Amino acid sequence: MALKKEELLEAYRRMRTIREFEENIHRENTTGEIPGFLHLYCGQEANAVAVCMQLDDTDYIASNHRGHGHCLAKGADVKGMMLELYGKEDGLCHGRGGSMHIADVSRGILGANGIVGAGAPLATGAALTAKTLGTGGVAVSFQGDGASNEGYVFEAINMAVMWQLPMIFYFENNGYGEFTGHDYVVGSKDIAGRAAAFGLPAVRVDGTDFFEVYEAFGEALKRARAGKGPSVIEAQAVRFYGHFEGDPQAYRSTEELESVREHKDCLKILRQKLIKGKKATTAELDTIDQEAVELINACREAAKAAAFPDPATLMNNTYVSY
Amino acid sequence: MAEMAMRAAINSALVQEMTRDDRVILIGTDIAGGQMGSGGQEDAAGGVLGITKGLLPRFGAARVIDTPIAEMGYMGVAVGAAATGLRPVAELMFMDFIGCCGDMLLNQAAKIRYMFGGKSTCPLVMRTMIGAGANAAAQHSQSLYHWMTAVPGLKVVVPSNAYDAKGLLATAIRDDDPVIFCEHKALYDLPSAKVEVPEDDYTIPFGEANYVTEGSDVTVVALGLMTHIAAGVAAAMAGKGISVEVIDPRTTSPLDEESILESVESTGRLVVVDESAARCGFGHDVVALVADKAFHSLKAPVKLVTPPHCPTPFSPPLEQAWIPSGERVARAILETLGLDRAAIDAALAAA
Amino acid sequence: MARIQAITVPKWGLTMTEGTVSEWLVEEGDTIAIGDPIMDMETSKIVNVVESIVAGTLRRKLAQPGDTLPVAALMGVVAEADVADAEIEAFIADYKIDDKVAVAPAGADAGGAAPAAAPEPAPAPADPAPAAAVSAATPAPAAETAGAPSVPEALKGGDDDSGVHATVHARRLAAELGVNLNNVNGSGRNGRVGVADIEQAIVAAGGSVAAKAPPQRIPEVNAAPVDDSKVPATSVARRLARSLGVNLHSCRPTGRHGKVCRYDVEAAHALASGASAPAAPTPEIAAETAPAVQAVPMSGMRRTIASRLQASKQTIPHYRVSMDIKLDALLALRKQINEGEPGVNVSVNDCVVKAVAMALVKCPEVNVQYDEATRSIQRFTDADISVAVAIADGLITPIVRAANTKTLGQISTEARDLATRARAGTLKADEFQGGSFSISNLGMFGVRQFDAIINPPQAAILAVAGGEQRMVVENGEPQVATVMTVSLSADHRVIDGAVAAQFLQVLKRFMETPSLMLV
Repeated sequence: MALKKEELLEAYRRMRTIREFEENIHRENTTGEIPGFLHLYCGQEANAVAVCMQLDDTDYIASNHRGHGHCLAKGADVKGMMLELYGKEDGLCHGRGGSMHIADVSRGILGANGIVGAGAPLATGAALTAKTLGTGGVAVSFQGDGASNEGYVFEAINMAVMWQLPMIFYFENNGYGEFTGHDYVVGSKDIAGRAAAFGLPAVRVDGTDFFEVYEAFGEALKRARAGKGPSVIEAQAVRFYGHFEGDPQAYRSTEELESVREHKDCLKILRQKLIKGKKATTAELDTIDQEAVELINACREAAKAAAFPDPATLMNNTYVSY
Repeated sequence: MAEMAMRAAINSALVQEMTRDDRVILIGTDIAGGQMGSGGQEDAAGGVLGITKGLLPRFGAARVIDTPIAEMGYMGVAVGAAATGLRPVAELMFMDFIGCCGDMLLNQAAKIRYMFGGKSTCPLVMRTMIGAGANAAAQHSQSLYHWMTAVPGLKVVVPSNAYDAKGLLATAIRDDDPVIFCEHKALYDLPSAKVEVPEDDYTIPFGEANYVTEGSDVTVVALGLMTHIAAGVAAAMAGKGISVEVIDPRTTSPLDEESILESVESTGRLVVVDESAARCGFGHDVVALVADKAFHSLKAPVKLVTPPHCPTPFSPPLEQAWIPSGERVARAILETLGLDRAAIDAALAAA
Repeated sequence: MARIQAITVPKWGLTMTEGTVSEWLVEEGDTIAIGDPIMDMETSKIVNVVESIVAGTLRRKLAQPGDTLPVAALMGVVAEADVADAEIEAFIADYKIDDKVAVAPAGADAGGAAPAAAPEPAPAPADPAPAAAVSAATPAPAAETAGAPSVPEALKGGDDDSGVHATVHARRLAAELGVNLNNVNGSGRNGRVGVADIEQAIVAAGGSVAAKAPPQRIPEVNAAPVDDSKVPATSVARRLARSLGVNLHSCRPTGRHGKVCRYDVEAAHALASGASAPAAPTPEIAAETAPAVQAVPMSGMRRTIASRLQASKQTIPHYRVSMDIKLDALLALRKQINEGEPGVNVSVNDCVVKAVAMALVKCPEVNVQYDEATRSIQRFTDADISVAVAIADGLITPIVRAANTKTLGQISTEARDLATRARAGTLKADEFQGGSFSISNLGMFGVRQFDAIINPPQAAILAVAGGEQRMVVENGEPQVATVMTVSLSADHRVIDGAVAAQFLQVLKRFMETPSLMLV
């Protein structure tokens, strides 16, 4: 796949920005300034970026509770997201949603979601809209291995097949559904294989390899845009942090935690490939790293300084009209 | 203007709105009911009670969409489609199945606008069947509109006759908020719900009660099938010189508080007849409203007539005892007028 | 990067408020990087590793293993090697847990600023007749409400109003009053005209309507005619303020989030009525306003007293009966004894113990205990009198056993011995455990009257106040007598009110005519 140099640098930048965003939250969360639950995407950046950089604003994604990366990759405003996480009025959802409901409908993001698997039918609905109205758009749902056991996820896959919708179900199998290993709760131990039984192309890819994801998703996208129906992709991904911030991860060995950072860090892998393939220099990548740090630092300080919503506006947007 | 049963009125509202707006689609289990069956008839059922009959041939499979029995999935699809440009009318066969799709209504449809900071709408209508009286037993008889009324973000409609059903359903489909539209299954063919319905396009605003009868002695608030029971009692009472005002709020969210309060302020007596629940039901909400805002107007304690706090029974005599009856309504009215038990017994025996 | 950085207690999860240091994983002088594990910390839920969010040399370990510290508390200091110790000490001295831990916006608001200053007290009206002021402010004066409503002509004319969106009752009222609905603005949903809109239109046009005056249940006696409904106050305070006629604007808010609380209303009321200030605010309230509150750990005895008396007050149905007792005859007798018998020094309390013991024998229904296990009443033959003795940080109740069988001299000697050893802490267990009835005497403090909490498993306690000279009316004539008020707290499960009253009658008789104790 012939990606241009600027596209590759942009991919690296998005992944690096997500990483910095999440690492920053990981540190800042311990100060107690960020309200609510946080689920970090560190380790899975290649998936969101390789998928979303092939989409445009007429395409929809529906995310899950681990949604920061998907939103950032799909183009959600970084500062708006940071403000939202801090619960500020100028956040993307005016502080009404927070980490678990972060959304930017204008960028085709149907939101992160606090309900496991709920994004699959929602995105299928977006695909139905796209087909019915003939917008040419596609829809992608991101869900984890845990959601692969939710009935309505498979209900949605079935309907997407029935109606041949422009829909891609992207399963990020990071090995753990909350605290439980994937192999324990997925009976067949094979999400892609199980999905294939619904009658659609279903493949398994290495979610730590940006290029492999990019290629597999590109194939699925081509089918969807051509009206050839939905696809399932199961990516073998890794999760650096706990299910939520504050999870001590006693169910994972130190060796595993060290090993995934050492050998399965998608960002590190992409960096090495870019340098080795002479697509970018160390200096170029270092500059991007530095810019990401500065961007996130600026967003964090802006978020800390920003105003909370006025309690008088509490009832706003409960309805369109009433 | 012809008389129409509520069944036909709902069907005609759907036809009217689907004709008016291409974005309106129907989605639900067996709303056509027969696709790819060996009989070769695609529109075999038109819903379990035939409400959507004839719509598939008229509007095509792209807009009248049969689903698997997968309530959560298709309701979520409907919510997602509503949030992205369609105006789905999703049918949940029985409101009792709300547990199978509850999340999509409770946590998705009702809240996405609020959670997204007002940047999204969800013009979804969920039509569903409620009500006891068909011996459908505990899992197909509940009137759970009070559940939905308690959820901010949802609007809830409980029509009581053909005219209201058509006008309110048109309003619901054109409304940009999610609306739960609760049809009492006993009303589809009830003669007293069969009234004159204009052929023309019309809507009825939400949050405006209908005065079924006007009166000066006692206010009775009732919804759906209960308005017919209350109206029957009111007619009988009128013959005895007791003037009963029956108010049908028509929508429980928004609720026409003003009409209820104005009526209670003029009569000083209130009876609420409600099929939803013996506890934390819609009736309790009305009673709380009056206790809060019109307490000093009351001349007698408020009476609430609901089913008992138990599941709907199957056996016909048991079910008839479960449903709020005309006799219980009459008794409650007489109690608010200060009659003691013996006097009430005598009055009812004489009737 | 700041040259000096803090290592603080992290916040893990939504509910963590404090953590306990298990052990440090690094030493002073170690170089640490962001993400390095530096400490094991235990919370109420988990033991977890604290990862450093700063980099540099660990210069100070302030938290010690076993320390329980709030989120954001300073645990250690990281700085570059060239930072002087004095700078680090200054950093530590200046470190404060600021309000940044408050997560919810509401909390941030509350923690951010000191409680808002009390609003300016409303200026007192020149005319101190508030009732008149209140009614003058309402649009429809009371005098007119009795009469028929007056509808200004301006509202009557107009085009056909049958198309105006109005409620049933609004239309009915309009017809009744001759109001044309075209002249009324609807404020309801979809612009609908309601009854209230018509009434408002009439008043606005200079007319009047029959007021629906709700029964005025709470007379507003002294309330300044200023609406205080927006003053933040607890519901208890608001209710109390209304019943006392205190305007909440006159109260200085000392409660949480700047709310007026019960104490503030009482204080304002006391100020207004010239009475002395009420009891000091509860420690809880004081803690909000006075930063210098110390947390004093409770001793074992304090905890025992706290739990036993709390249980008593919560589980025993207490009631109280009081009686005034003239002491003149008893004091004369005491003087006689103390002057006549060297080495004997009988106190008033000794006399009370003796009289109570005699009265208990006369009224055995009061000398009882309730046995929860068997649901029976334990009735005692002898009067074993527990006498409350105040000691450092608490009190103890040594027992004068079978006081009914002992002479005043014996009781006096024994009571003094018990009290002395109680203060020295050398009482044996059987000297303060048991007892069938308690006496608590605060007379020496000049207390006029008080109530005591029953000392379980006993069923009654007598609260003895101080004797004082009071004017009493005897046979229609005023005269001075030394009078003491006693108050019996009794357990209604086993002692009825009449029985308690009879007991006090007998006690009064023994004390007012002490010679009867010899009979």
